[in-house]
Amino acid sequence: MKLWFIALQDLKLLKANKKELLLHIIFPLLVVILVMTLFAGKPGLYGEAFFVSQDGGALATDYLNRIDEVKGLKVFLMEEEEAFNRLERGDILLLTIIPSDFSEKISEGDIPSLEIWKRGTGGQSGQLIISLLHSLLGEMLGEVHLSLMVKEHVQDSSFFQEDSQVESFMNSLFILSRQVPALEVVEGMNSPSQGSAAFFFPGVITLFIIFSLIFHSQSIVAERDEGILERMLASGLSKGEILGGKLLGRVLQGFLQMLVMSLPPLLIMGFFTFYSFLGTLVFSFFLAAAAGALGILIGSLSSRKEQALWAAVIISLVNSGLGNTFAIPTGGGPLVEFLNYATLSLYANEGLRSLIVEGASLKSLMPQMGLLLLGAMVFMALSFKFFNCARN
Amino acid sequence: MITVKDLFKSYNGKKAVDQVSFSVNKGEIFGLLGPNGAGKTTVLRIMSTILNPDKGQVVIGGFSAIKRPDMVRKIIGVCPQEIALYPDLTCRENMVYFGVIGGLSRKRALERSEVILRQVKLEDRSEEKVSSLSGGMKRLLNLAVSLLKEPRVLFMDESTVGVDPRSREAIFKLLHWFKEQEITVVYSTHYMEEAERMCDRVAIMSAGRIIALDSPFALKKKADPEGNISLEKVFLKLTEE
Repeated sequence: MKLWFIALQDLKLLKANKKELLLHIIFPLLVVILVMTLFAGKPGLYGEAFFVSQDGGALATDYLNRIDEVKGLKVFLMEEEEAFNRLERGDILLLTIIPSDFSEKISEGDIPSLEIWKRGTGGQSGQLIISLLHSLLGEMLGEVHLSLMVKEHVQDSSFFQEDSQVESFMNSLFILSRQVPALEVVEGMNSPSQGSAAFFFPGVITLFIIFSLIFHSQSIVAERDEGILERMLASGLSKGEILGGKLLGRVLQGFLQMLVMSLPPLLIMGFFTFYSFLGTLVFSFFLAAAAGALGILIGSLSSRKEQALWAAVIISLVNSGLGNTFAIPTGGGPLVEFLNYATLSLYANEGLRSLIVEGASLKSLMPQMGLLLLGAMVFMALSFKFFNCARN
Repeated sequence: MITVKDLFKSYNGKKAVDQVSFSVNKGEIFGLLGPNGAGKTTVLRIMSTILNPDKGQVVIGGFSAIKRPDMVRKIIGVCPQEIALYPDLTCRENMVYFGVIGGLSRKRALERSEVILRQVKLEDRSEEKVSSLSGGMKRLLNLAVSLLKEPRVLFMDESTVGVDPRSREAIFKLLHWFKEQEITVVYSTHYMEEAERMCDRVAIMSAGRIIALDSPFALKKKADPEGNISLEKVFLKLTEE
């Protein structure tokens, strides 16, 4: 009962201060609408493909042109030294070298060997690009084989006088077939939840809930400095009740933020199914608990508001920069990888994306919810050890 | 009502309270006097169960403040030096909040709020935000909150600092009322005139120790048998020594 009263009091304080209400609820709502509007659109492949061509032949050029024609893919032709330097620095994650005998081999119907260099998996679009390189190469080889077969069959006839005539005829057929493909792929979405905007939406939610810990950590220090925590203790509350009430307040506030931020996607953009909306709300309790507990821990460890502010800003930035908030980090080595796994955002984003984009069940998100809950419990246990109601 | 025995507290090796012992009778108004840093607030915070001493005993209403702080908290009221209130909430909202977390039902907290706000002459401002009150009114409300649970013992830490004469007079009237109600008050201040006027007995503290303890009249008599000396002069004389 007392815990609820403390928690509701924190919500009341939020409501009583119009500026804080604006910062915590209205501002995030506006950002959600902005991001959703910016990223609304059809999905597709967005990538960059880097090449070094050791072959100046016509077929190598044709191959590069065909790749360049793929929608959403940009082709960059580079010098070998520069390309390897950039690969070494991690500026590029996938490099394809077209060997000097590429055109010669293809023209004879032989399979040329492409040299593909990767950093890690080759980036988010790397696997797609490699698959595309194979498929376009297969297409070219198929055309060459067909031309060779036609040449062989017509060489004794009087229909074509020269090989070049056969080649020219076949090429015009192939161009025609490419313009009017037998199978046309139309990009579309079964549901808006599979679009780019839906991919970014969980990142926006976690960003705001994580950044709220800046406010939570400072309010703990402020209430201690103002003697409010001492008064609460002397009124008869135990340290555990004060901490529990504060955590519950943070959870309710995080839930409220999540609810308000989810309204535009629910009502206007149609991201949610009924189930994914409910699942998102349930999941938000775990995220809000972990973020709230971390804020309380920072406040418990800080003796001044400035300390709490600085620590909370750094932690929020690390969580938002990493944690797959808007992109999956690919560079930086094991340290970045470790930090990424240590962020709350990672588990929150994974969970929310699975719910919203993939339509996963809440049950399948037990590991993420469990880790967030474990985080909350560890942060609260540490807070209990370091929390002090008395002013310094 | 209160027994403090051989209290000792240090911060980072520096003595804040050193061998402090005294007792306070039921219904008595007991003053803790001393310059800044004398240890008054530390003694009050230990008695209020907010701090634990390094050594010594504090017994309030028969319960040890160290071993049974939960029981002590049921009978005490604490008025801290700071305005420990939520500025964005109204006077009534603050009163009800601290009343409920102190163990009162919401209905009882509302009833008590009405009574006490009337007593401190803030009933007309009950729906105003604390941030809009004057400094003196905030002090009165700060004191009012500590009375919600009808405490048997009240700790007041520098409750008249920065208060206008009208609000100070209101606080003095409340102290008289406490006396009538047999509420035991431990009152820390560095206004000697106040202590002389209000307190039954005073303890003068310096560098964490009690250097004199008696009624204001007896202390003055000791310093000047003719009695032509103010408590402030006695205090200055003792703290200089």
